[in-house]
Amino acid sequence: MNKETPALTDTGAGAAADARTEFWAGARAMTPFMIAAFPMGIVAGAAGVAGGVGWLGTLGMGAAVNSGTAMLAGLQLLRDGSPAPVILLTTLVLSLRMTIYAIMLRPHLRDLPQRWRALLAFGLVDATFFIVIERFGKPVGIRERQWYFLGSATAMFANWISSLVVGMALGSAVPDIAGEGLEFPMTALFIAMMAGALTNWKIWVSVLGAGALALVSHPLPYNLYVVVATLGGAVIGVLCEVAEKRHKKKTETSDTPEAV
Amino acid sequence: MTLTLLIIGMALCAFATRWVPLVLFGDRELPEVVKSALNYVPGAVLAALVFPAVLSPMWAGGDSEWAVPTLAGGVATLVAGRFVKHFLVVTVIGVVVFFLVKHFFG
Repeated sequence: MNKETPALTDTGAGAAADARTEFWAGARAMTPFMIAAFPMGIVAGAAGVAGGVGWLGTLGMGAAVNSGTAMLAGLQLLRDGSPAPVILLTTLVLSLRMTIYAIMLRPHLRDLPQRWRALLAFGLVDATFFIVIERFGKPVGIRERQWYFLGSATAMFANWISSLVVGMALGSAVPDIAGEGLEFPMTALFIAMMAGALTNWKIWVSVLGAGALALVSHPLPYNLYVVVATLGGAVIGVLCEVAEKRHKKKTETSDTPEAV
Repeated sequence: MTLTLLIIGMALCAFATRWVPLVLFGDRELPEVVKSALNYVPGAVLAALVFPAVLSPMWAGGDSEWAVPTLAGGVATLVAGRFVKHFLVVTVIGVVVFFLVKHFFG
């Protein structure tokens, strides 16, 4: 694990300034995501009011799930008259990828007290994960990590709630059909990140495999396709690694047959 | 009242999934195979979200006026993303293509 520099563990003025710098750096890193996610929040806010859950219900549900996808799925089910267990199960399944994110972030946050971890877990969303995990790849101390994460999570949460409020205020002025148009920026941002992640052939295969799995399993109930495709893509990646290792071993042994 | 209960239930579902690995089992070491599998999660989860979002409007009977713009915008974003490194620039390119196609062909 990364050792933090002793100077940063001081609780003096320098450390406070450092925490503030990291907090704002984390918040600033979210700018593209806040812009791209805002339209989706507007759609969700408008859908909440139109769906008859009211102002408080919309805000409450938004804060409760802290996710545009889960919120829109929940509202859709509510409007279709789906029973509560179906709505809860859908929320649970859509949040399962957060479990995988949390598992990946865990080693970087091990040194934090439990209440800090609980707080950061609350703010964990897709965008925060992708930015924070990249930052954690560089050698930074736990103090920087915790404040960077908190800044990123706070920015996304504030942005999410603001976009919901704007959506509720606009209400019926946000036409139903605009839904798909306003959700596209978030999709485009995800595609941009996916394009950036394609750094070797194994990731290519894993991404294409996950995409195909998502399309095939799309009809599954409770939005299970997200989990199926994510796990499937990870397994495909591991299989590629195994294949690569085996291939390397084979070429090595055929190069030096007498060494055996 | 039922809505309040439902929202509380949704909050529990949404946060149990985040809390359990980080707070409850925060100190266990993971097996190597799981660690290497996790390297593929970011790409896989993005693919899982993106592929249906881009392609399913087309499959929904083809009557959605958003099918062609979504596909064109999606492909444009992917191509731009291979050449431009800045997320926001790539996203803007994709969204512009999306609305242009919607405007002229939709």
